[in-house]
Amino acid sequence: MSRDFFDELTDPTQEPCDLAPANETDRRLLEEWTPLLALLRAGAPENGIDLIPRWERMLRDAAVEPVRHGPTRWQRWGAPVLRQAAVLLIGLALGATGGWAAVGKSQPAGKPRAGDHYSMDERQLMFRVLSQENGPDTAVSLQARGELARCVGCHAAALKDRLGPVPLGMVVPRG
Amino acid sequence: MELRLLEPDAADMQQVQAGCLDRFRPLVARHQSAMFRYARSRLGSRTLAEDAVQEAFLAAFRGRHTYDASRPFRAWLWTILANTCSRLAKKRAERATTAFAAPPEEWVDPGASALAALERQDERRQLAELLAQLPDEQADAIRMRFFGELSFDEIAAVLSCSAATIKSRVRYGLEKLAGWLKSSQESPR
Repeated sequence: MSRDFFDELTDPTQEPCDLAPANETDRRLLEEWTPLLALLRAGAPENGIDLIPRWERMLRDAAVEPVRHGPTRWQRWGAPVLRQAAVLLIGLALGATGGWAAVGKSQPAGKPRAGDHYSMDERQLMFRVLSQENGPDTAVSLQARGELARCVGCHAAALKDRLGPVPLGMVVPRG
Repeated sequence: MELRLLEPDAADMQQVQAGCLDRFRPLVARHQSAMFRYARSRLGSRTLAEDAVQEAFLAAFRGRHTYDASRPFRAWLWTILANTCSRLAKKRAERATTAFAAPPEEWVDPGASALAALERQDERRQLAELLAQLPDEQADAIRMRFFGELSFDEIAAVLSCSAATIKSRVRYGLEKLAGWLKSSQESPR
């Protein structure tokens, strides 16, 4: 049986008499199935439903509320802040590995230390942007400033003039 | 960039998602008949079938923000309907009722002439009895194809299998039905 003929044969909108079998197999199948196809059409359940009036009542009464599966307001607000904090911490973690090992050694400001993924200029720019974007009093800004204070131990020569006061309670490691 | 026109269902649903709730009405009007025919055949009771269709539309409306307009709307809606029917069928089975416990007049078109109504009633009962003898997956595929007028691809999306599998189910189901029908017509009543 050809594949297209099977699609046509089982199409409920097609009358069997309108079908054109392409070969002997199709013709035999049409002959065997015609009584059944007629029963499937004649014996189909009736169209006896009209839900429109009920839906109009429900929409009018505004009784149907959506089930919300999206993020909550807290999640929407907090996600960008958490993302930025994650970027900051990852960058610091990558840098600190090489940075702690290289404490005391002088390096040109533009070239990254061994183990650092960012150059000194890139890190400074990143920290400046993060701090500025979030203003002086936000949680990320405070954290950024705290982390910058930790960096003093690694990059004391380059950063000493660029930091404000270290937040109270923040321990500044000295290498 | 490829631009793709949305099908009417997807376009209406997008409007509903945007807050134009009135646009759900044409979706109900467009799909309720086919859904009812399937549910009626599957559940055997007009009342249960109406409940199933209404619950399916309600679930679709409440979950409207989960619909992805890039996917076929009908397959998404019918998946909800199929699951609703399964749940109601299970409930009914637990209450130990059968598909043919409904009084005969449930199969009758209101307003039809007496003779036509009787003939139609007899055909519907005969078909329902035959379908009930098939494995559920074959009967379901046939109902979706013939009563729901879904394409093989749509049925495959609803039942989470390939179109080739659906065609096999329909084919084997129809072969069995044709054989039983022929036997019943040849054997004396």
